[in-house]
Amino acid sequence: MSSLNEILTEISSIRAEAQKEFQNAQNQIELSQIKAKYLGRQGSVTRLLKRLSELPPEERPQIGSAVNLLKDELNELYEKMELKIKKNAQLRALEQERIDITLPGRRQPYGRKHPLTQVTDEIKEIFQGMGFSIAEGPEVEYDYYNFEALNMPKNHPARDMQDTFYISEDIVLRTHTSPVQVRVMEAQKPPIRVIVPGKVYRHDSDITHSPMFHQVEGLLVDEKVTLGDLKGTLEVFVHKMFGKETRLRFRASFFPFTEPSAEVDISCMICKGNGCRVCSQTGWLEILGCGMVDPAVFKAVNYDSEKYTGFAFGMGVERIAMLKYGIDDIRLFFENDLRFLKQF
Amino acid sequence: MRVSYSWLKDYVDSPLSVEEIAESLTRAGLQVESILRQSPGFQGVVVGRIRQIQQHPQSDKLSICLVEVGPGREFSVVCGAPNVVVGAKVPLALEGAELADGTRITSSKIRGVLSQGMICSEKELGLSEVADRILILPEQTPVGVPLSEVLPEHQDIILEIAITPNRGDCLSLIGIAREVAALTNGVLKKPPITLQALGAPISQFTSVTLQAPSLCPRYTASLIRQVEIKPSPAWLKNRLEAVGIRSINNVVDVTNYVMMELGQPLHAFDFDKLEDHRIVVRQAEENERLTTLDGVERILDHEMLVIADGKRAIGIAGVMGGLNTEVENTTRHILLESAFFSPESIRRTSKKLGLRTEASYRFERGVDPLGTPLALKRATQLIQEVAGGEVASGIIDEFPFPFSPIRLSLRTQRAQQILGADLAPQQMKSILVSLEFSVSEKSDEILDVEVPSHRSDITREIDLIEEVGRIYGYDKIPSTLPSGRIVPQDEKISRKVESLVQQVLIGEGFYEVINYSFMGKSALDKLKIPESDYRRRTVTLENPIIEEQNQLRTTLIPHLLENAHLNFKYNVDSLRLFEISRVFIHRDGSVSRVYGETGSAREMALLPEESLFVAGVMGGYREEVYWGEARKPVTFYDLKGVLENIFSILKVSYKLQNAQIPFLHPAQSAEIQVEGQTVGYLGKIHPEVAEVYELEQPLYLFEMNLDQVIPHVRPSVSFKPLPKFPSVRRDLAVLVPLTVKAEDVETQIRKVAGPILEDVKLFDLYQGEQIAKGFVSLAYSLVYRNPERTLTDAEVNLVHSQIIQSLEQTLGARLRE
Repeated sequence: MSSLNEILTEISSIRAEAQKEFQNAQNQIELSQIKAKYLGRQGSVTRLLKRLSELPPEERPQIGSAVNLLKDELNELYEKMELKIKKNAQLRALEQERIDITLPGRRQPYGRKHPLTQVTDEIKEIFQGMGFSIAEGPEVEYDYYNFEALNMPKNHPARDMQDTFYISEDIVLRTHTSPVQVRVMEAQKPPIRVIVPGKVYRHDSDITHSPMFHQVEGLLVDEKVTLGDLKGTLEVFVHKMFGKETRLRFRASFFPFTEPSAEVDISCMICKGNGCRVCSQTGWLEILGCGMVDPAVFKAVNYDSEKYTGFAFGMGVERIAMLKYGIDDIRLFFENDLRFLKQF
Repeated sequence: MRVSYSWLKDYVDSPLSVEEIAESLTRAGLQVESILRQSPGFQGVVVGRIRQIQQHPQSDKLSICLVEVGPGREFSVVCGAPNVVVGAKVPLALEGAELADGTRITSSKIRGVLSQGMICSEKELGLSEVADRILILPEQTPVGVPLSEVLPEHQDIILEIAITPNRGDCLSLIGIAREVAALTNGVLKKPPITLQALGAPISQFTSVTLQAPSLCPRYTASLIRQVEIKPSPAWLKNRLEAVGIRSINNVVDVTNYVMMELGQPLHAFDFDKLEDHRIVVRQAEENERLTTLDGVERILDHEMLVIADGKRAIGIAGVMGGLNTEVENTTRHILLESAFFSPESIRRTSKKLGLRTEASYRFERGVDPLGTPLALKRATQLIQEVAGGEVASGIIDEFPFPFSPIRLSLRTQRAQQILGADLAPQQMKSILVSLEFSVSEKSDEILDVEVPSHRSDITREIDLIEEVGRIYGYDKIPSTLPSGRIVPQDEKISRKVESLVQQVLIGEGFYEVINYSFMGKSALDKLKIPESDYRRRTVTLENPIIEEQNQLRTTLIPHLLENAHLNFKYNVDSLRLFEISRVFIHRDGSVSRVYGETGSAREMALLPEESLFVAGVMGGYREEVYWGEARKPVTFYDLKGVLENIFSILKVSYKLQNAQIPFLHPAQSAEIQVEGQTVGYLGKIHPEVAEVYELEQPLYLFEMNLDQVIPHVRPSVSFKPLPKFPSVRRDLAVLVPLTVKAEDVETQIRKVAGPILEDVKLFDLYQGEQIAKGFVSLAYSLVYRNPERTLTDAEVNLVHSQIIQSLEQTLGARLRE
């Protein structure tokens, strides 16, 4: 007959031995064998339970619970080890699938918008954010809309400012997007806030002039619009387009269809206004022309210039793109060389 | 316009530096494009000290001076001046120097003695007319320094100013000076006119007949007898040269000088050469001929104004004088003309003759009608000063219609409201007065303004507001944001479509290109486009830059083929380009339009039709280089897939129809149709066209008229509930004769299956040894679903077998086992 102490000693030696064996198990097979050895039908823990009957009845509960505790502990340990071995096996299997992540990725070909389209889109977004909508007009235009209605009658010296392509005496390729101002005002009543992106044409071709280029025109007509409003609107545009630190200079100028007229210079972004080759040492870069809509233009569209005032502005997209990207030859935009197009 | 700063200072005093003045002028609308510092005649001239003087062995009048310009640097110079003394500081022109008259100094022997430079007189330096003695510099002048540093007051500064077409009054020094005075609170100093006219009355010698007063509202003339024609004095030459005018002789130079000074062009005639010694201002005869001063024979017409004598034309009014009355060295008497010609007339004449001169440039922009006699008197006075002679007393002044100055009211509140600045009426007044406007205050609200005669550009209140604003300074006007209402506008569907198509193409790997709108006839010839084709209805430019590019594009394809060629040349092996742009188709017919204030209707040709086109090309490999797979060349179906994506995004259904497109492969091309209308085409380039464009790789291309697609785009989408019941998938493989089109098979399947067929997709196509000759195997995956309930196998089987049966009967198909 076993004594209480003998059994307790045996329990602790089985615990120590089993724990060691479980922890050393290398795989599921070994683990199953160890489980059978201790917890199986013939296992040492099972056998201990069978020996309970040999003990005096008053000692059985104490031993019984000690053996059951051991059994639970070992079961738990088994499960833990089983999970660990499974994880390790999976890890090894996954490791077999290791790839070289530095090999080039597989790309679906993806294209780009032309840089002029990108810049135009940016300009459009800025003005759309200020409530301007987009208007369009024909590129082949009547002399009337391109010149006469804009206060440039035939034989006006201002026509020299724009070398014109003629289709006939009365029809030209528009030299600016301004004729759309007249078309918009003919078609609707104030208030008006529109911008007009589009192609324009001048009889001129060299490193800084292209016979076809792009402009964005703006027109705002309402009651009590001021030159100050024009300044404020263009400041917002310039700060969004070229950065908050950019300074503006409004210079008086002349356009037949605006009065007062101005040209806007921005501080040179290359030299920060100190003077360099790009800004011809002046520190300033000219980027757009603008002014208050001339009463003569309002008259041509039957607007009451006493009641309404407005401003208009126009900018060259190529010019802005050249400044933004540091491009020095306007012809690059129209050669369509992918080595150029892919850079934007 | 070139403005000499030292000359400008004759007319205005300003405490500001030249840079500050330039900035003020620029902000006020007279853009100073450059500021150049010049020291004429001082190039290579340094200060020397005469150390020793010897008599020239061969000449009594010449001496040999040893001139030192620094320690151990000494030159031996032969000099003829009487005032050389030892110890004098003198200007020494060294070898290589260039003097005021253009002389280049070299070392040379003078009467056998080497002279290593030249000691200069004031005349040689362009400082004065003094030529008989050398310039002696002050005792304390440092030796060896460039003369330009010693005499900085002789250094001139040239301002290059861009004058806008409205500011004819600023095409003169006095005009610029007036602006400077107004901008800087300076004082304007007009040149004094002190004419000594002591001769017999001019009417005894000559007369002027104005036959065309509307083209020449004012003509004045003076007569100077017994002048001496010779080179101009240095001051006159220097000033003209500083502003870019070549010196001719003293009389001609004076006319140019006064033109630059006052802005009034003048002309001097050789009075002896005038037939009948009189002037007639008249319109030219049709085809009248006149050889102008530049030696070119001009053929005139009746719209042009000429200055004539008793018998013939002697000048094209306001443009250029005639050779027949040119002032020459032998000329004795001068008839001087100062006139006001109609700007429109001068512009028309100058343009028609292709002859632009300093005079025509100014007359076109309008000279001061009240300044005509002043300029005449000023020039007469100067001619007398530099050429001598006797001035006939009095002038001729033909001025039939009196000039009445323009009077305007300026509402001060209106000015404040347009400018957005709180300028005081008093400030507006003082700005206008500084520009020589006469202003009287009617009240605080209104200024009565009289416009000076030199400002022909000021005719309206708004013009006065601009004057006030620009002199006040736009930079002082506070920036505000427009406060008015914003009326939201619907975005046009066309722009949305354009943007969607652009997005799809970019997603498909296409790069956007932008080409010129110009093309030549040869582009259409290269594409073999027949004469009757709509693309031949081109719009033609009257004045193209190059004759070969004289039409507007009717198709985007030619440029895209050129772009493809260029890029293939640079070894691009996978090419996808697209362009979205307008094309222009000529329209016959005309429209009657009412224009302008006259309200008269005019017949105008119709503008061409402008349509928004999209076109693209693809060639080379379908994918980029990838190490995992071999690359495959682009095929027709890659391009068709791109179009399928476009139409799917636009939610437009379309069809392809076999068609003959002259520049496409006859068996691999098609028209694109939407609702029965042809909107474009796609296909492989015809090998012959590829050869013409030197394209060595096959190219696939498409072009579509987006304006024809847009009406079919349905922007609104209505949601369909997600299916509640399961679908059943069945595959179907059939052999069909090669003559049967895939589209016919699919159409038949859909027709027989009816609404329970949710989707059908071709997933395999086989042709070859495994199947009968003349047949192709098509394998479809069919998805059936009933939205109301779960389909039974029996239902699906029934439909499926009906499909097979129908394909067998209608298309000669066989079920593939």
